[in-house]
Amino acid sequence: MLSPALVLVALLAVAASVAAVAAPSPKVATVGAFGAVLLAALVADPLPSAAAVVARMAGAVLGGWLVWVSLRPVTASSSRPALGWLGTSVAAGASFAIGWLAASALGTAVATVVGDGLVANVPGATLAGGSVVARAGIAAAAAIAVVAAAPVVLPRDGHRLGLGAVLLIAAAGLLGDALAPAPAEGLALALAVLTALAGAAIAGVVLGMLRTGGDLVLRDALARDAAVRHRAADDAHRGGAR
Amino acid sequence: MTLGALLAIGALGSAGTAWSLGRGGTLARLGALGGVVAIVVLAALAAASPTPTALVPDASGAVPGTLWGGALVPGAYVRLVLGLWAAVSLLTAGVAWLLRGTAGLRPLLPATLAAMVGTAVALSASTLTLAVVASGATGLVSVPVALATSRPSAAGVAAREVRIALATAAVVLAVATVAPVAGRLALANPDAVSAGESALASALGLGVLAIALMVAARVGMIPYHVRVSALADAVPPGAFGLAVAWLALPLVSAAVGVVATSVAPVAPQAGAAQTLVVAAVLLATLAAALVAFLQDDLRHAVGYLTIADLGLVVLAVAALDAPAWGMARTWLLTVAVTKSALAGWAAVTEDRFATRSVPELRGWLRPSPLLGLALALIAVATFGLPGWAVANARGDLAAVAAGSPWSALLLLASLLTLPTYVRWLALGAGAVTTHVDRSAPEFPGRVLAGGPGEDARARRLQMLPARLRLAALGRGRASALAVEQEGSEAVASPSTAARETPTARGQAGLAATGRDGLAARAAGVARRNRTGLLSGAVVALALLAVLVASGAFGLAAAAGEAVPAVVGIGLVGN
Repeated sequence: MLSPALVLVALLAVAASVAAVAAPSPKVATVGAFGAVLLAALVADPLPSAAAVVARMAGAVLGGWLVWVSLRPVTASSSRPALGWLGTSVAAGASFAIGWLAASALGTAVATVVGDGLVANVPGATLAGGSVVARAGIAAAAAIAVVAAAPVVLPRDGHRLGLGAVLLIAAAGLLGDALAPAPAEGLALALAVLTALAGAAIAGVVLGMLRTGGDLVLRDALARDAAVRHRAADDAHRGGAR
Repeated sequence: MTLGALLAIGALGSAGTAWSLGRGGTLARLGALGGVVAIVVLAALAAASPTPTALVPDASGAVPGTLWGGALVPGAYVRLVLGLWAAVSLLTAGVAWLLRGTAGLRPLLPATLAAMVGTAVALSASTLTLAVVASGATGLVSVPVALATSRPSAAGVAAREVRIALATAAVVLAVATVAPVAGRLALANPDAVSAGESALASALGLGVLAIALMVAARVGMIPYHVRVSALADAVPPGAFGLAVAWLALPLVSAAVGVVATSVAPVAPQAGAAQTLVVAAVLLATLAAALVAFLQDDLRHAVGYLTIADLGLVVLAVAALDAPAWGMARTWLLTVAVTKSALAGWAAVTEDRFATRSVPELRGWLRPSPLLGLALALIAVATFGLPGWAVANARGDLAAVAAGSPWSALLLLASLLTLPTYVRWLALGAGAVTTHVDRSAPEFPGRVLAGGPGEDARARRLQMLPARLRLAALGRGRASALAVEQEGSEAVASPSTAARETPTARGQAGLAATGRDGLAARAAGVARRNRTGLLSGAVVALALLAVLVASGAFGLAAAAGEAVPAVVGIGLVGN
């Protein structure tokens, strides 16, 4: 009954992650990233316990709020990928489709192998049972991971780098919910704590960048050989550094 | 219950210490004291958390001796890690306090307590997915450590720490989730996997490669070493071992656990992926050893020595062998303790001689024989003697990851950091530089052997820092001693000390000693004997490293214990 709604939630989570990466405004990006984390907590079959859902939502809201507060002094737009809204959306859509197909193939393989022995509480049981929510979860995980890869691998600013890393955690959580043998409240609580702490860490990074550089740009990351030739001003290898 | 108290005290201690150390003044001193007490209590609670003999839920569903219905089960390894970490932390905190006063403890104590809590959760977790998530949270502790300095590069360093903590956890979590499903498929078709021909075999190989990459990135193995170099520049003295070695321990332990329990039983060979990982480790270890030898920046050289040793743990992933789990955990703990001692030695050496340039340290052994002893002990702990836990782990990791002759090459490469220690010790025996000549000796009362006819007092004065020697010549021996003792008080940096006149600082220090209470006088005594105490603390760290390296405290058995399995709630192997 809930399946179509949960598939829609998975799609919304992907859309939020696209906003996190493509939106020019850092505040919109923050809402997108932690919104994706919040929505991802709901995409599971069977639904996790209310306590687990509330914990993960609280972690996402707290983490997002901390980053939002740290962004108060920021008024200008920050960096975004060259792909822009359209390119990022296309990449996310293609990844979602590929993820859906891969999930279907994996589910069929597991069902074929396990056959009549298919029981609950084994890894991949819901997927093998034909659950569209599990497929949507894996597809959304693939899409979010692809969208988040750019700011994590090739970071231009510290804020987006952190948001990308949070999205990767959300993608891994979606994968876990789709394939886990059974909902685990301990894991949900740990993911909630991790999300909140990640928000606090990103907020610290944002405040630190605003304090030292006045913006969110990772300057040394702009040079490919930053570690070798473009050392920071306080590096020991520069004359008079001590 | 005990485990719950441990987590609560650690978390509250971390938050309280961070708050009070940030306030300054008396609150900061109380916070520092509270942080030290919290570390001691945490270690005591860890020691008092026995492993439950039977992990069976009772009538109410709770599993006696565990937390959250069997999600967290204390084991021997977590007790050992927390106990040793507490000992190392207390000594490191002492060094940091003597070097920079309570300001030196500001990032260190709260971060250590938070990391210990996270590590306790990760190592006690009865599912590897929970262990990975807890490890990711633990890794974020390096962010406030990096942000604690006012360096312009601090925020960038912290941003990369966020990336390394979260991205590595995400990838390992994804592999840990998929691996049991792939394992189920592999069990149904073992021939295709062992022949390495099926898509499933390729997927398992990719999973191994992904985990190896994440472990390599987490430990800073070349080519992921840039963040370690940046950390070496950015983090305060004493925090380097925490940020690089200790924070990597829980995630690497969990990652190796994923491979050992989910992949190794169904795919004993991963073909090209294994070869690639072994070749990468060989090259990275050689490169790190070479750079450490050539590096003239002491902090960076310590960083390269650390990653040269830590990088070997990636071999446990390539081994695809269940026993590699114990070897990896033995290796991780010995490296964490040993490199904490090395980082402490480097911090004290840099402070004492007011330079981090290795060539400028020539002759350092003469005024600092205790530091020399510490470095020699650290070298012994790093390589070990035949039969020691560290030597066994090194040899076993090379042997299980690759066959002959590659295992011999790996072993040889891992020993190539030895010339760096020899270089530093040999340099210390050379003619002294001005940096060394101006440093305070470890034994103020001891008269070192001088040349023929050389007056003991003249020799004694020669050993004093230049500014103090001038003061002594101008005011006589008694005042010189007073100034020399006061000159050893903890100051923010050598450059700060140079700006202040000895007389003014001496009067202020003596006045403070006279008007404050017993604690302040004790602190004053400690600061006056700062030089010797710092060396003593580093020697203690080195001795602890030797003990751990030798396999004391039942290290190998504790590291090899299996992931606890709770009967009846399906937590095993996930």
